[in-house]
Amino acid sequence: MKRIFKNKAALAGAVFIALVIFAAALAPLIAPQDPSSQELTQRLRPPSAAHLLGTDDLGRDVFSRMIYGARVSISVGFFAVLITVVIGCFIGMLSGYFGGVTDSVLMRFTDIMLCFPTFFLILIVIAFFEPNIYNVMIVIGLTSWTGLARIVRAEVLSVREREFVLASKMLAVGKPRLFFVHILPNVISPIIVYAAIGIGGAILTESGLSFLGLGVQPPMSSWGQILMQGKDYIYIAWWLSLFPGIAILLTVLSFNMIGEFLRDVFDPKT
Amino acid sequence: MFLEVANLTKTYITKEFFSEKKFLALDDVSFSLNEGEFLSVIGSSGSGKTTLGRILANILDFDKGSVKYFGKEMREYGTSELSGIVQMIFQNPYASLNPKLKIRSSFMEGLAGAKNSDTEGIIEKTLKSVGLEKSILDNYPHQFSGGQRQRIAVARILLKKPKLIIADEPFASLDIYSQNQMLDIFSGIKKYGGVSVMLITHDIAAAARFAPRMIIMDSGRIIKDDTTDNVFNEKKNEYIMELVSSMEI
Repeated sequence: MKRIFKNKAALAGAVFIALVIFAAALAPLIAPQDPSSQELTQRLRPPSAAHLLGTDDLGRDVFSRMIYGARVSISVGFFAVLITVVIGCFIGMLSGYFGGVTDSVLMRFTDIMLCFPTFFLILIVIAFFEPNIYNVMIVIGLTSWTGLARIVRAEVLSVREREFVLASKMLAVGKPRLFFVHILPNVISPIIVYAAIGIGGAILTESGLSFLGLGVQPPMSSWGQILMQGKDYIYIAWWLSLFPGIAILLTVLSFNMIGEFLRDVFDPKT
Repeated sequence: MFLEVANLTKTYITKEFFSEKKFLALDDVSFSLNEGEFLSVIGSSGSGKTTLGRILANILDFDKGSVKYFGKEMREYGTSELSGIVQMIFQNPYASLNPKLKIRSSFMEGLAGAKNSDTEGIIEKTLKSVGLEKSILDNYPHQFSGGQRQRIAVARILLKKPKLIIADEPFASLDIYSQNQMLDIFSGIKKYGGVSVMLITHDIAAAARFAPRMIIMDSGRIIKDDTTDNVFNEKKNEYIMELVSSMEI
């Protein structure tokens, strides 16, 4: 824990993420205005004391919309990665532990999944189903587990041959305990690192989808969606694109910094 | 006879794209062991001694031949039954304990299925026999030295009360002092009786101190199975003579 105070980048990242989560959780208390209330007399106003980050084309307060948008971005990030981790670990552990035919079948399936250009796969799926925040989470989760599955498989392959696993096997320890007490805790570090970086990636994908109009639908807001609306007015209202862009950038960067930090912590060789 | 090994053969196959590489690790190995008997298995790297140990410990499967404990084929035993017969100590003390588990949890695994309810008492007694205090139970493996970890590993398998302990190079990464401590622990086990120990090593000096009987292996075959004295008086086989002379330097 002390080490995070020495790593300035990771500390800044953690503080920023904490702020975003705090703002998202307490959005109704923090947001100065209702994110959907329109004031048509106040359209496209630049940042001022009344509207910290200006207003959009319908006179809505960009700052309030961004705070509510943080809810979407953060929850998409966490839930998509949760799905990724569950599927990736499950497939990776099965594949690595049992080997043989199970391994071949699961890894060829993973290879096939890896061959799809993920973003276009997501586009197709969203086009078939209704574009909403839940579908976005699920689709991102279902398409991004492949890398993790391979990492977990490789780790399990090496850990299951380690002496302490063999020793426990000889003591006739049951399979579930072998799995969850001996193998899983010893492969958990790369999983955590992957998850931390994956959250950033999921937020980026959500923003991309919302930018294309396939993510969160109005009147709900997300950072990507505000960015999309901003593109029409980029010459006259730079604040509409700049602030959500910075928010996405900083959030993704923060998660990556935390991921890098965790990698250093878990890898004793560095 | 407690343990009978007959015509044991094991080939490692490495699959490459279009070809298979075969390596004959054990070639027609036969020997037997009495209850309570101590034996060292000696040979250079690649002679098949670790493979033999792992097969006897039920970690590795074999191709041909038979391994019988108490006259019954090893393959006919269940895993938990075999765990009460044979246990193994590994070469690398730093990898033989789960780094994420406290010593107590690792020990409880050795006691799972035991009927006696006085677990604390049994653990304390076993720890004493390897020269460790009960206070170590609440620590993690990384808080101990290599020698201590090796003794913890021995205590853990003693909880199972096995009939045969296979020790695969248990001294290889230990200093002379820890090595002597380990040898003392084994002498203690010998005095107690009823437990056979098979020491796998390339260190003929340690083997000579350890047991009156030696098996010498080369290229997967047993080339000599005799008393330690006879091995030291060998005049014909160059490989054995070289092994013996390596000790005298």
